[in-house]
Amino acid sequence: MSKGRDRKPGLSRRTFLQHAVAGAGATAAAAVGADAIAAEADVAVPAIRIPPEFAAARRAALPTLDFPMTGAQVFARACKEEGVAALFCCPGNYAVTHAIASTGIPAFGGRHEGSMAHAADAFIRSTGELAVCSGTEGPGFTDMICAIACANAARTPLLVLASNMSMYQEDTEAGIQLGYQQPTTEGLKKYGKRLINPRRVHEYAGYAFRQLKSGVPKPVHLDFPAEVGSAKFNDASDLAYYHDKTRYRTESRPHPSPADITKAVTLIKTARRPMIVSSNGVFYAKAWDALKKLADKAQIPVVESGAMKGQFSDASPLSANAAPGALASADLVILVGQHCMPIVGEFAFGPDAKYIRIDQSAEDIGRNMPIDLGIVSCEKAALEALADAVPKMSHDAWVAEIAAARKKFEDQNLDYYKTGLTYTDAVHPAVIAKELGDFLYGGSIPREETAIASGGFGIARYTRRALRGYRPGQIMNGAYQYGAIGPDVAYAVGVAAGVQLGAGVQKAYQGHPIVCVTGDGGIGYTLMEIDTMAKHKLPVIVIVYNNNAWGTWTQASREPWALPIHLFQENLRYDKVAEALGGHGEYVSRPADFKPALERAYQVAVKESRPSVINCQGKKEFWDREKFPPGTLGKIEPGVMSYYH
Amino acid sequence: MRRTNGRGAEGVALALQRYADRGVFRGFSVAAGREGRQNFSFTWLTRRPTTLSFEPKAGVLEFKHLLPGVGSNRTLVSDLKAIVREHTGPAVPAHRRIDARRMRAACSVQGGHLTLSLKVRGSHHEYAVQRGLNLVNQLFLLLHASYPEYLVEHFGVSAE
Repeated sequence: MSKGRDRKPGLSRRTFLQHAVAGAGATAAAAVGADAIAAEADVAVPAIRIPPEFAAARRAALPTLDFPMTGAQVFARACKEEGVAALFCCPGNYAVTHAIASTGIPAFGGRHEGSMAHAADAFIRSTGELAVCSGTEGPGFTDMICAIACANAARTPLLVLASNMSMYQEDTEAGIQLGYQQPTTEGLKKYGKRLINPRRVHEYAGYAFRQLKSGVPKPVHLDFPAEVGSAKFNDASDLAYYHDKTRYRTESRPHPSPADITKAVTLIKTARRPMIVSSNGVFYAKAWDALKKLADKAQIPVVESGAMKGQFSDASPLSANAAPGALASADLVILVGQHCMPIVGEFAFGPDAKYIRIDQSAEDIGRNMPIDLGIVSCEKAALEALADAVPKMSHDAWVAEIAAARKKFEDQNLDYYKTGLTYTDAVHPAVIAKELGDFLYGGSIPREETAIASGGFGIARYTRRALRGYRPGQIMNGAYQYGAIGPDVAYAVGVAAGVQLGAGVQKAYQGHPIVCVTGDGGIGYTLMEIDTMAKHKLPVIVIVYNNNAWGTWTQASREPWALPIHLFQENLRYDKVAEALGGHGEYVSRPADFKPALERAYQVAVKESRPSVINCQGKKEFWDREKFPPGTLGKIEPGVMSYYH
Repeated sequence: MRRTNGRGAEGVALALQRYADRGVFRGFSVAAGREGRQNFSFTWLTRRPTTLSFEPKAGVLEFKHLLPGVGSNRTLVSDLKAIVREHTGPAVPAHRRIDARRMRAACSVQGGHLTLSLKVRGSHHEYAVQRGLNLVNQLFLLLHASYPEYLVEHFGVSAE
């Protein structure tokens, strides 16, 4: 758990007023801490505080989970044994969620089941460990649908649990919240099952984890009618198929055929400008060492795509992530673990490039993008085999071309920044992007330290250009493939929870602050999760680009009758909402104020483990290229800008 | 497919057919026009079919109206022309450069639509096809990077 979990006791009204007077620059609440937020000038009101039950829960002894057990407990124990690293939920599905919490799996309760499901997705994408989300029957379950769809598009091994009313009541509409769940997640999952036979609850845990831990991942959805969760089992003989995980699934993985490796090596040897595209599969197979070994040995540049980034360090001269201008030069593209395939034209590679695709799913190889060679294999096994088989090679001219393209890209970013600084009446996104990048990677913070929940729409077109990955799990690519911008704050809950716990690849960065980027369109969906962050002591710095409009407003710029659809009230104070929820708030309306606000928020995160919202006041007209160049930016994929694939 | 050094219309057709065979194009058709003119159609970088014609007498490959509706945007046209221009000089790596001894590339705007023309020199028809397609790819990369709204409006690319 993170350092400094317990908050200072609430301040007295007198102390608050003293601090409030002294609190110049930042908001009054920021100067004195969340405890005093609720206080107004002359009315003493109770301070926001974390209930003592949170600390008590951490101290509470866990029950021994052994027979006799309920169906929910049997399932929870399977989750524990399978290494589920966190539970994200709202109240509901009580038997199952309480049983999971009783195993010691860290449980995070939030404000909306959808947000918690997004958080679980992000936890998995940023740690590589399994997480569970849960909602109650009926609305709790359907609240999670968008998140399940996002996780499905991102190929996340998300375990979705939901309770259901009893089988006895089926079809009757007796009581409330009955629903037939499985058809609702059709097309959004790898596997799903309504558990109908209590004796098979452990068997179906096996079905779930077999799917989650093999092949190309996607969500698994189990719904628990009351008869299953509450069933009582006196001993193992009451259960069907009750045996250890080594009996119901295998850790064995497909390995590449020697003939395919020979063909691949031949293609690599004849290529002059080979490039590896590293995606999701490299992350989940923990194949980054093999990737580096292959890249270094054969001097093959690497560009990343996918739902998370950082498997290949941007510190390497072989990183082509920020070299979009060079991509079209590649004559051989090796797609590794690219589960979500672009069609021709979506990646920047030229028409003459040849393709090798390495994937665990033979059924998918050749879809969308024509291949010259398909290799069915676990990504790690294939990369290790290739690294062993390729001779030591050099592609100096190619690497120099990558470096030149990288410089051109960085020069362009710098030009955007300089232009952005000239707009002094609001904060331009180029200023946020550049100064955030400098803060994270060019200052006193080790550049590999801070994990990012990268989101937003228009703002993301700028910030993605500045964000870099130096280690696995550093960037969680929020809007990946499904394109949802609303989950950003919820995603940050999941990333921060992973960092707080030091789960999976976040182990070395345990307890550090994380940064979330979002827009004013996105934050409206999940802003209430600031409360979740505050009560769980998740030190998240949420940077919201507030331009008073959805990023889509330009599409209605010539249709005045439709324009209000795209607009919000102007100058909204998301920072104040954060303060009201126990977080820290900063309001930034001039370019020069962004960096100091970021530094203050970072200190709040470090010293108080408290979330912040930095409300950056921009203006929608910054997307107008004619009036405010460079206006709305596009993207080139793969690489730092990618989020479609 | 056997690689040949086909000349003229045959060379152009063979070169394009190879891209279709490799799956780079989705759908590929050829229609004969007057005086040996060939009109090719294929779906490639966007959902909208790309058309390419070859006029054998003049030795000109033409992506007519490759980019519709650019005329009103002078900055865009200027940037597109700069892409074509820079591919003839040292601004791009040698392997991407257009060899003026083998072909020339030019773009023009007529009726608001941008047309890319490739004048083949000698028998370098396959070279011209290959360089021309790569140049078209570069033009679209510029649009993706800097003019996303154009692609939304004219090519049905998602606004999201």
